Amino acid sequence: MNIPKLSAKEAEVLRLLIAHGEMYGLEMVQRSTVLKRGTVYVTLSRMGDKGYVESRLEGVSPGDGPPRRLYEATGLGVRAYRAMEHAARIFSGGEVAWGS
Amino acid sequence: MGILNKWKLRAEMKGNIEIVRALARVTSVPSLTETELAEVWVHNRYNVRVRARHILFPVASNACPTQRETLRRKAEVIQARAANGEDFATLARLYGSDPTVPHGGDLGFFGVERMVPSFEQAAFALQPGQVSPVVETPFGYHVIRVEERKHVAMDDREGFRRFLFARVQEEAVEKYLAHLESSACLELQAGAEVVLREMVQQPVKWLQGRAAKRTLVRYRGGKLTAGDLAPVIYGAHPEHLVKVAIASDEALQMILRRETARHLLAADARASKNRSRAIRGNWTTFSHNHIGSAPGAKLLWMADFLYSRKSLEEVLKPTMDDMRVEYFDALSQGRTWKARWVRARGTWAFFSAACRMTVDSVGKAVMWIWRLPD
Repeated sequence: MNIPKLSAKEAEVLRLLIAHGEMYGLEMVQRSTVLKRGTVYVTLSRMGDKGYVESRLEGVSPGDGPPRRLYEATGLGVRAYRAMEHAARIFSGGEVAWGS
Repeated sequence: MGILNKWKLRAEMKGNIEIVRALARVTSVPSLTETELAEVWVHNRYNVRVRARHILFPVASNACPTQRETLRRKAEVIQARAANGEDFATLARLYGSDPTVPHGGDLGFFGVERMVPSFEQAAFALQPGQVSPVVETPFGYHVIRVEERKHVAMDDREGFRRFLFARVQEEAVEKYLAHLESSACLELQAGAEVVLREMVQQPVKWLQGRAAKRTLVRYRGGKLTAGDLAPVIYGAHPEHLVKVAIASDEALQMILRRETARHLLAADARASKNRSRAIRGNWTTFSHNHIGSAPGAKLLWMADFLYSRKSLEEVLKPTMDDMRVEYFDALSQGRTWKARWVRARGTWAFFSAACRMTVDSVGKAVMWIWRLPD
C-alpha cells in the first residue's frame, strides 16, 4: 500500500495553503519560519509531482513585476495533511508536531 | 564559385564583422537606477496617454503649391468651425478622408512616439476638449481634438529598460555615422543616383570591369564604387529594393551617403584594429550611462543551459522573480543597502535551489540505476 508521506516542509506548505487559500511562494516564506527562499519552490515542485498542490500563473501581471505562480492545496493534499495531523495527535498527545 | 569570388566573399564577411565590432564600440551601455527609470518614464511623457480625433486633408506627394494652399485653407475653415463648437465627430465624418472617418476620426488612446512628431507635439499640447490649429505632417493637413488624457503606470520595467537601451544604441550608431559622414567630406558624383537606381532594378552579386570601378561617392582618402555597393544591394530584401527603385533622388542621395558612411566605418575599423573610439549615446538628461540587465539575468541564462525546462520554470525562475520583486520594492523605497542584501540573499537562495535540484536529479538517476534488473 502506498501511504502518502509528508516532510516537515511539505506539511508546513499544506498548513499555510489550507489556512489561507491560494498563495504565492514568497508569501509562504514570509508567513513561515520553516520555509526558506531557497527551498520553497523545490518543495512545491516535489509536492506538485506528488499531487498535493496545484499551481497556476496569475492572469495579469500586478504591475510591479512578472506574473507569479499561485499555489493551492489539492484534495489529496488536504487529506494527506489531515491524516498526518490526526496521526500526530495520537503520537504526541494532541499536539501537531510539524512546522511548529 | 570562382576563387576570386570566394576571396571577395571572405573579404565582405570580414568587413561585416569589423562593422559589428566598430558599432559595438560606439554604443555605450546605459544604466539607470529604478528612480532614474521612473524619472525617464515621467519626464519623457511615456506615462501619458491621449485619446484624440482628427480630420485629415491628405496632400498628394506630387501636389503643386497651389493645391497645397487650397487644402490648407479648407482645413483652416473646418478648424474654425470645430473651434467654434461644432460637433467634431460629425465634421470628421463629413470632411475627413482616412480609415478613422466611420469612427468620427477617433484614433483611440496613444502614447508618445506613436504618431509623426508634428502630430504628436500638437496632440500632447492640448487639454481635453481643445482643438488644435491646422497641423502639417507628411500625410497632409490635420485638425486635432483631444477627447481624453490619462496617466498610466509603468507595468513592464524590464521591457521599458530594454526599449531605452535599444534607443540609446540606435542614437549612438546614427550619431557616429553622421560624424563619419561630416568628417570625411562626402562628395556625390554626378549621376550616382541614376546608377544606384539601375543597380537596384537589376541586382547582381559582383560587378566586373569598368562597371565595378564606377565612382559613386568620393570622400577624403577614398571612394565608394558601384563594385563596393553591388553585394550590399544583392543581399538586401526585395521589398526594400522595390522601395529604393521608386524613391526620389533626394532619398537615393541619402542612401548613398549612409552607405558611404558604413563603408567608411568598415575602413575605420580595419585601420583602428579595435582601437577604442567610443562615442557615448545621447543621454544628456541623465547622469548615468549604463543600463544593467535585471539582477540575476546571467544566472538564469546559465541555468537555462544546465537545467530542464521544468526545473527552470517551477523552481529557479520563481526564486529569481521573488528576489527581483523584493529587490525593486527596496529600491523604490530608497533603501539601497536593503536592496543589496536582498540581492545577495536571493542569489544565495538561487544557488541553494539549484543545488537541491541537482541533488534531486542525481538521486533519481542513482535510484533508477539501482532498480535496473541485473
